[in-house]
Amino acid sequence: QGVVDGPKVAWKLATWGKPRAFTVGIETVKKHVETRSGGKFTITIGYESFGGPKELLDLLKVGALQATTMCSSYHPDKHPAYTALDLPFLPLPDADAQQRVHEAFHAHPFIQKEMAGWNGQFYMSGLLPQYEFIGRGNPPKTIADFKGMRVRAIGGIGDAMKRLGAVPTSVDATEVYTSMERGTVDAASFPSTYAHGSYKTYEVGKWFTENMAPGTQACPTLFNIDAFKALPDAYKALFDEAKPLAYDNLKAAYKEADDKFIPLFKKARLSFVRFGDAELAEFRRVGAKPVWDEWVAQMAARGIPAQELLDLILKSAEAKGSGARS
Amino acid sequence: MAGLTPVEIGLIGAGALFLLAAIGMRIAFAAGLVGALGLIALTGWEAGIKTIGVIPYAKSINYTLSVLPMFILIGYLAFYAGITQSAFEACRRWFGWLPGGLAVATIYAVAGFSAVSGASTAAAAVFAKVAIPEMLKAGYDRRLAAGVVAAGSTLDSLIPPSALLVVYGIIVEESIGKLLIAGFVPGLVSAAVYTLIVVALCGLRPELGRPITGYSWGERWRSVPGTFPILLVIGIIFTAMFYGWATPTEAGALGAFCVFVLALAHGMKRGELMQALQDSARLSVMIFTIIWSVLIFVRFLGFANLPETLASWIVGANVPPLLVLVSIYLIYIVLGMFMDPIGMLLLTLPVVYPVISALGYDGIWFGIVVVKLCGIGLLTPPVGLCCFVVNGVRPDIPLGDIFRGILPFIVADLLTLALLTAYPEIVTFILDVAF
Amino acid sequence: MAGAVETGALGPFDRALAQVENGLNLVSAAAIFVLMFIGVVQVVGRSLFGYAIHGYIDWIEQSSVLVAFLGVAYCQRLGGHVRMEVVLQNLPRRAMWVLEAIGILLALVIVGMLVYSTFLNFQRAYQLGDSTMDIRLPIWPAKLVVPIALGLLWLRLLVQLIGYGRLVRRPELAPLGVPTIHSAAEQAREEIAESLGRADARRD
Ligand code: NA
Ligand code: NA
Repeated sequence: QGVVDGPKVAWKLATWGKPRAFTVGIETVKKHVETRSGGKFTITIGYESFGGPKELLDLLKVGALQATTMCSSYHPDKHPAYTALDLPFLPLPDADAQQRVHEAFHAHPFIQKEMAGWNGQFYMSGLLPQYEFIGRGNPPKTIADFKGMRVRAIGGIGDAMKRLGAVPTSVDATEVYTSMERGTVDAASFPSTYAHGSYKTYEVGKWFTENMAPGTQACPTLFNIDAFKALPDAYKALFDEAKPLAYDNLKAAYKEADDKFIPLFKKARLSFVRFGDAELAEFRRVGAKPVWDEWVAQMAARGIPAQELLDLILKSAEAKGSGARS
Repeated sequence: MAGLTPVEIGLIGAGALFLLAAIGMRIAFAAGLVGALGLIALTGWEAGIKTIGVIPYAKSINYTLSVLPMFILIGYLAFYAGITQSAFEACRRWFGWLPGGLAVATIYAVAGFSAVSGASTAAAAVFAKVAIPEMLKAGYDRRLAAGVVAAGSTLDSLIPPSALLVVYGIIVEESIGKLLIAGFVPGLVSAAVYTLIVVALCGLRPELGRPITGYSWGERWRSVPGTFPILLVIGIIFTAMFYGWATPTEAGALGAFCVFVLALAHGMKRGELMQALQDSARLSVMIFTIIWSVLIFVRFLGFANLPETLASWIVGANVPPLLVLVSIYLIYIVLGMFMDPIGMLLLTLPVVYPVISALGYDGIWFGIVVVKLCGIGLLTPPVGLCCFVVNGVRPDIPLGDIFRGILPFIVADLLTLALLTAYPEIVTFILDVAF
Repeated sequence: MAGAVETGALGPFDRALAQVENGLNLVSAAAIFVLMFIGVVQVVGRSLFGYAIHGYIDWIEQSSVLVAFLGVAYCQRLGGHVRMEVVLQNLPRRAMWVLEAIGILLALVIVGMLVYSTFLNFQRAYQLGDSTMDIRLPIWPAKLVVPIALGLLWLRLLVQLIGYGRLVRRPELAPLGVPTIHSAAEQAREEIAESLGRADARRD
């Protein structure tokens, strides 16, 4: 591949935390764009130096940023319709299914219009893996074992856990380790395995749910609409080129994290909890449909085509094999 | 800003901020102004001015930061709780037999008081009133008496609660809980080094301060219950955080509540409570204001990519890390002569902290070290706030005498600093135990 | 007060503004007191009764906007915002007033910019929507507090600019509408008054 010609452009892309599996996607895009433009189109990734995670949409809107990552659970009411992706127990068994669903969802006109209010257009999904729990005490075998358990669970997963009888407790991610060690919370859910790995919950936990898959949250990368419009077509095309690479590297990074942390979990003598089909169905009966229905009712009252959006998610989740890569 | 690189704009901004601060502009406004103009220079008028509007709310509305008003309130209520006298009395009975015994007693009484107070100047004022008369009555050298009170009061910022440590944690995004727990042992180490200096001085020259003897063991033990209120508050704040059943904010609220009850029991009047609350509100808003405004400046530096560039430049220059560290110590000692600790921390940390991290030093450890450096700044002339406070309570002791009186303690502080640098475990071991 | 006569509206405006500032600082003080009790309820409730206030973090965060901003003009009136005074104190009186006036003028510029931009920040939250993470409290009320408090600060700075301008022209007049000069030593005296109780302390 040669170098495409074009003007000097410098973009700022904001994210937070430290470089980790989640940021491998944007790092891939940065590298690809810079190489293919011969260094003329630069992307500076700011790890919190351009703003904290809750500020980034505002900064995108006012034009301080040309691109940003964000997580919808940090400010659900900034984009109520978009929170559909955070609903618990959505049937997203793997990264490919998640990519398919998120891409289809991002293409929906209502969702695009909502994000355009923040001057944002969707680029790609962060493909945050399904959350799983690591906890103390006796490993849960059935739904009844979650009764009264103090769990760290945010967004839709929190709603679902409440229905399963658990007590959602808000704890900052950085305080989860101590809270669990001291018993302020009994279990914590994180995108698995990589976030459990980085917050070291496996050191203080006794058990790990392997396949509960209570949900995930949407953390897309957005472009500033005006900034993207202003790009020459040759540069716009670089982003299309970079996207499949970024998705591949992102998936590989999460996989690599699993390969690294699963043995660590085992070494830390976590007992791996694998729920049977009957149990999983029960979780979904109690924690999925009722939460979805409530969400649809609430959002529909605000003029959002909520049922249509939910159907879109469920339908594209089923559509295996077709257009896994867009 | 044609022709200038972002890093150059960043450097110009940093220079402008120091200039504005030097001519007496309030640091909050100077930092906000330079940060705003810098962001406008880097991102254009529209984006720049709108960006600054995001920061005050985003940076003040922070659960961790809400511990600050609680700590400040504890400090203002502590006086009315009347726990100073009994702490001093107990320390006198237990430590008085040492050479310079009353001075040693003062050090530990201040250390105890520090656990219910968040600001060094408060400790200086209270003990200038309580301890200096006792020492003078016992024939102690007045320089030593004034010096030990001023120096001892700087322990307050190390021993939790400490507003300075909270401010540090917010700016550099280190865990407030860890910082507060980490400050405890270095505070005691610092007190021990002060003790050594006092005992050595008075051992060599007994006329400076003679031992106070004649207390029976019975009298010693009978003084202990008087210190229970302090121990109670220490116990609550420290163990609540250590064992994790309360966040720093909750522990702060609990501590404030205990001191509030003690103050009521000690006869605090309604007007006094109102005054304490209003003063807490004023000090809180001052600290919040300077935090968000300095964070506007920090955001500008971030957009200019200055801290990262500087850090990688220093790391790339292959200067021995220890040399960089000692240079940073020197800068803080010089700045500390002239500046208020909070202003000094907020102005410097955005640039210094990335360098320190890039060199591989622990952020919690550096927080303790930098607060110790702030303590030195509270003592050194020409602007040594704790010395001024002692002089204010005891106008009969000339400022010059106080500044001479703190000299041995500056030596002690440098020794402590060397200890903390050579043995960082003094700070970090407790974190390994607690976290 | 020879100065009071010739400053016209400055004195009354100063006093009226001070009333508002005092009131808001009082609200902030009350918020601190209430936050203390809420914290106690939360810890005791959780440790002893397994009960936690629903959305505790969200409530604490939203109410801390009162403590963080309401007293900002009050603090400026009392000269409470940190600064370095070494240079100022060692200048001739008139030069000192000039530097003070410049400092306040620049402060007016930045605070003015902030009033505008924090209002836009509120407006975005109000029009496009924004909420807390946990129990989804609307955020716009707290965001609105910021431009209001900073607007009040702007007015306070204006009073001080007029006050300093008057002193630049007539350095012999008694200061009016400006914080009394705080040398570090005077500041120390103030801290003592704060630490040792108010019985014998003079306050403005
Ligand atoms: Na303290
Ligand atoms: Na000094």
